[in-house]
Amino acid sequence: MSIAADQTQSWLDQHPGAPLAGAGASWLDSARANALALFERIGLPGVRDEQWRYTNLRALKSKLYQPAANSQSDWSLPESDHPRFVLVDGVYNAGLSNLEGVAKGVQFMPLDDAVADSRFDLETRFGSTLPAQQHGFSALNTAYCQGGYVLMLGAGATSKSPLEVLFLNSATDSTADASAISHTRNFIIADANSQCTVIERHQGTDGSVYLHNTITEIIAGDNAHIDHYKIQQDSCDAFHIGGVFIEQARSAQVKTHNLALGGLVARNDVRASLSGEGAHIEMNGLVFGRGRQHVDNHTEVVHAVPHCTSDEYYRSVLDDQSRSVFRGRIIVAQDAQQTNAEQQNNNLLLSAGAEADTKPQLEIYADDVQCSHGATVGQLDPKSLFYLNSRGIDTESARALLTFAFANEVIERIAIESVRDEMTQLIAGALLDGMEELL
Amino acid sequence: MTEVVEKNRDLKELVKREYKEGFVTDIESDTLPPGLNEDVVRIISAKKNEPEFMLEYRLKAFRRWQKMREPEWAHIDYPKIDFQDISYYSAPKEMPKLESLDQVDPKLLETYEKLGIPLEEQKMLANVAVDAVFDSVSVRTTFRETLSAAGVIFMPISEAVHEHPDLVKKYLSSVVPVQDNYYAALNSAVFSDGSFVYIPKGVRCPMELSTYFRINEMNTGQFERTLIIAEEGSYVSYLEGCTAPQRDENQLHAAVVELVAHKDAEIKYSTVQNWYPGDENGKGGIYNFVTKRGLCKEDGAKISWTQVETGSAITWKYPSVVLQGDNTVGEFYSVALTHNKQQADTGTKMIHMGKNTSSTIISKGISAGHGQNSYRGLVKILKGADNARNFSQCDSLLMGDRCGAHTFPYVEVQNPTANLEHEATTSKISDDQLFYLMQRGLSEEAAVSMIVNGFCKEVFRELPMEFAVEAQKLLDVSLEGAVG
Repeated sequence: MSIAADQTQSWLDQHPGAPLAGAGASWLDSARANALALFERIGLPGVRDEQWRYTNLRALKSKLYQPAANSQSDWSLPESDHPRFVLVDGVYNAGLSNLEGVAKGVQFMPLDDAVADSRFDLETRFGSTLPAQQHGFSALNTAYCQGGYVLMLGAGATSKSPLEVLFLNSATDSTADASAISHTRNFIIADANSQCTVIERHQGTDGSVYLHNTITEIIAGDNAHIDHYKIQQDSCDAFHIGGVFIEQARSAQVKTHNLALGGLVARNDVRASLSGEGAHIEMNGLVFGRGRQHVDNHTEVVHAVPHCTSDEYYRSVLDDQSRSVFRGRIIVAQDAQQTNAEQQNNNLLLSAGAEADTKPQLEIYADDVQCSHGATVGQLDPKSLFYLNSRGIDTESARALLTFAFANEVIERIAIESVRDEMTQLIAGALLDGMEELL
Repeated sequence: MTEVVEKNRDLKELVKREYKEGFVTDIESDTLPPGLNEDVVRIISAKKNEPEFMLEYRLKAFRRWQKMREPEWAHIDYPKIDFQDISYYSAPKEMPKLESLDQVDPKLLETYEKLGIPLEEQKMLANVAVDAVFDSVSVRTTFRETLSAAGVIFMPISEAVHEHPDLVKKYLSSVVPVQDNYYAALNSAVFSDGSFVYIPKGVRCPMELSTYFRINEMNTGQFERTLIIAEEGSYVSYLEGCTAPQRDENQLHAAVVELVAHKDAEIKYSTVQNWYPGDENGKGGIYNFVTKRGLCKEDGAKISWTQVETGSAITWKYPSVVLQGDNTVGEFYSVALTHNKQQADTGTKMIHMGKNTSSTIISKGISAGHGQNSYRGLVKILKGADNARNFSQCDSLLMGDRCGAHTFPYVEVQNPTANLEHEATTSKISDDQLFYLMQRGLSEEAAVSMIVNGFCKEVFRELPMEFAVEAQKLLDVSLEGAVG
């Protein structure tokens, strides 16, 4: 048996006994069986895979995993006046959650409940946004998802306050011979003219090793407005494999913000399929890499119909030995005339050990379009440094200020003031330690 | 201006126009039956009377090739090639050493004339030495004396193997290893002929060197091999142009070009590629799988690729530069045009290894009809390449709603002092521009031609003068029927 096949088998062996979400629903059972069969065929991706060529998963694959046995329960969470949905190690935790105060027409519930309730019709929606070519982690997610949130917005429903989702990962028991693994599957289903803001936070106990494999499917109906934030602050030894898959109907407006701050290896697939005229997608991303972090962002926008627009803006700041990978693919289908698609990827290398790999791609099959992409990799501008020096600011502070300004371009695109302030504080804190007065 | 207006002829007639260079010269050929095995490689080597080291080289390449698989990553779609259904050797029969044009088969001369390469006239007027490759064997090399006075060696590589075995041994496959890729390995095993150029130290080549290739035998793959070496402080400009007769069977063309630039040397390599593109339904046409790579081996070297690709049913070609020495420069200027059912997947690789290296990439893709045009490129800045600089620009122009333009750039940066910019745009010809030109009295055809030429100007101005004129004409001809 080949090594790869061995590994696939060992991944399949890791899961028996784990509680799965929505057990008993026959459609879900068969979806899981299909996903398992797919996984057995394709296995985990490797660097020979074009979509994974810059991301070596050796560290991830070298570990054994099992679902967390004893989850930490004493989490001290900051006060929040927003509805809050908390998952600990992939499982809904009612005690920590607060689903009060959800607006009229909005339903916010665990995946289990939504599967059980046929009104939500998850059967036809489950997996509907995933790309035809899935990778092994997506298949594993379908096969083994333990929990997740489901947010349903009825026609015209508006949630004024942002809805917060916390994915907490507890420290693995040091006596355990395997690291914790969790698979979560989430849905945002917004009917016509509805509106909401969702903030996903991914966090873990400092220094703990775990693998979190998460997928959020967003189905935006006609003229729905959705703002989706993903603030990934996993433990610096953790592995994060994430997917945000979006399907947009006529005039649906979706914004995604992907803030990758934590984790040892983080991979994000963000894909939007624009299938109704007038749909608009905005994708923002910030990578703030330190230590030996490796962040891989794969984005894809499919312009399937005419008159859609997309705007993509990803930046990374890379220090120490960190590495950022960006793949941005824009596909304009044959009849998608009057498309306007833009993409920017800028990388700032701060240290000799850092690396940036970027792959912006355009695939255009229509002619009446305006598409552009730009990518840069560089360092801080010596002239700007000199200018600040000449104004009496020492080099270290000047570098920090300019780096902050670079990252701030993405932070400024955050619409919610509280999140924007939080990010500003976070980045400034990391860069301008004790120099906040310079801001 | 007037030239542009003159070209405004009846569109429909032009669309149906026969491929101008499409004719088959009737010459008896010494052709091997289709198929490839070790014996065929041995026969090729024996026919060319090659020294032992070449046979070993070919066999080594052949054995590697057998273990390799055809690359499938390119954005192109074509029926699988049966490599056993191709004849790997073809030479015009009886080829005594010739001293003057009179001794050349008059039919060959006639072919050159139809192609517009009258050797004598070119000798007199254009001051260009022409090494014409008729199918697989070089028939004639002119100007050798003028060149040899300067110390420049310009000869068919099959002769260089005999006359300069040390140079060939030293440099052949030093830039493109035999196992580099599937088509390079195949070429190394069976290459027919090509050009060998050696510019000695400090010499500025007194003229532009040029080769016209021509595929002639039915079912014969054309496997060119070009090797150019520029010693310290030398300069050479090399022109390559192609035309091919019309036919229905797809023809495989897998060339390898290697350039080596030593300290402060400069090599400028220009191509106008106009192989038969197939008819409007995609029938016929050349499959062009080419490996071109230059090595800036020592400090201060410069290599510049300029290409105008308008022909071939399939183009798979990535002229690259390895910037090994410090302060080396790599350039790539490309215009690729696809019309009807043509497909092109082309671009460049710039590998920065030395300090203070810089590279420029300007790629202009034009798609019309059902053409699919992809830019695929890699810019790689290695750890030691301090202060590397790259600027890339890939623009695509779309004409018609059934064509495609794609960009697949790869950027890998491992050094924080690198500065790198990549930008790409895709759009159609703007109605405003068209309207402006047309209200100044230009026909739509002439207006489009003018806009397209403007779009490609940054590349055309890199071409030697005669080539630039030819390239513009080629674009006009290739785009006929694309508008309206």
